[in-house]
Amino acid sequence: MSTLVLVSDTLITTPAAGNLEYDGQFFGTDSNASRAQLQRIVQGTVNAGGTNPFPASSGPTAVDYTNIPTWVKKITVMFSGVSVNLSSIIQVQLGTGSTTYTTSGYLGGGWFANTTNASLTTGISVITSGAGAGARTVFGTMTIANLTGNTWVASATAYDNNGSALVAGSSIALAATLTAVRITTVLGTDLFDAGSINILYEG
Amino acid sequence: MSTVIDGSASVTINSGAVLGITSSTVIPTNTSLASYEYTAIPSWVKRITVMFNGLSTNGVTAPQIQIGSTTYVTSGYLGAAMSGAEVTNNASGFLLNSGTFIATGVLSGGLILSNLSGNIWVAYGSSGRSDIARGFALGGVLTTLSGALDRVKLITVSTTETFDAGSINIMYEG
Repeated sequence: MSTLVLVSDTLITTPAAGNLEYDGQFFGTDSNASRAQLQRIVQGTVNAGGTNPFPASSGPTAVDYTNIPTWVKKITVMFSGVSVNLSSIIQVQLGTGSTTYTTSGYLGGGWFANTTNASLTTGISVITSGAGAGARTVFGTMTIANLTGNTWVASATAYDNNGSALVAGSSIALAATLTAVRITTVLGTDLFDAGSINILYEG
Repeated sequence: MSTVIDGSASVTINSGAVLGITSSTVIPTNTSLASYEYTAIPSWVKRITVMFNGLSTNGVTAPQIQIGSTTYVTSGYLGAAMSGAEVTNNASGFLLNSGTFIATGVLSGGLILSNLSGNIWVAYGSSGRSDIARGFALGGVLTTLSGALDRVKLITVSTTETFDAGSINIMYEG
């Protein structure tokens, strides 16, 4: 084992045509709590460790990603063939502490099904009504970016298998540092019954 | 094996690029100015995320993003914003919503600018209005930037209407 420790401000230089290459993780500070993994995208666990894909009749009502590090500046939520069993809108809520999800105060709107618009204050909207079990399966991404402090801005683009485009934008001022992301429905009781969800985060 | 760099939040490589995402300073957009801008963006940047939170103006034209190299490009953008059947093309910048805007409008979302090659920049994103139920898909390209991108501006299509609420920030990476 070898350890390279550079203290104080340090400039790493290479030859003019050289590269700095390291197949590991660079840490930006000496604090475990605030270490940024530079230029490194961290992938979550698909369906937050639950059954993948979601089972047809016994899926969860919410998928929670917790323990998100404080250094994160951008989170990507990915949906692949995701469906719910009833008709509630899929939404994403952000959490703080250990763990309280913010359920109001979101400023945003979405457009879906090629014809219908909606606004949503309880979360960041992803799509239209589920329209029944497996009736709409969603493919797409949502990017949640840190504007400043505890204010986060989101944009989402997706597609469902009924041929609809889905777009949304939103923002939320959290009361504290973001630590969690929850994917759920507005109703809160619909079951995810198909597909896969995962997140990427980076700082 | 472990590598620990203590005392700096970034690593500088020979091109001058900083590894990781760099956040700029948030700008409140409630000070009745017609535009808000970020300048001195490094030449090594390959992707810029523009974040806008609760934008409102005193006018009726859509907010847009212009980019520049020393000076801003105000024409030649190819793109559109779309909401349902409403599709709006615009050559003076990357639109943040389709159609018109209203003084009570509140707009939030994100626009990602990516360097396709050379000085060609592609934009895509989405936004939503919270004063009414509207979502917007955003996309476009600018192929006529004369040099390396070094600035980003928020301004309305009219260029004269002023912003009276909200905030904006960018983060960039290379």
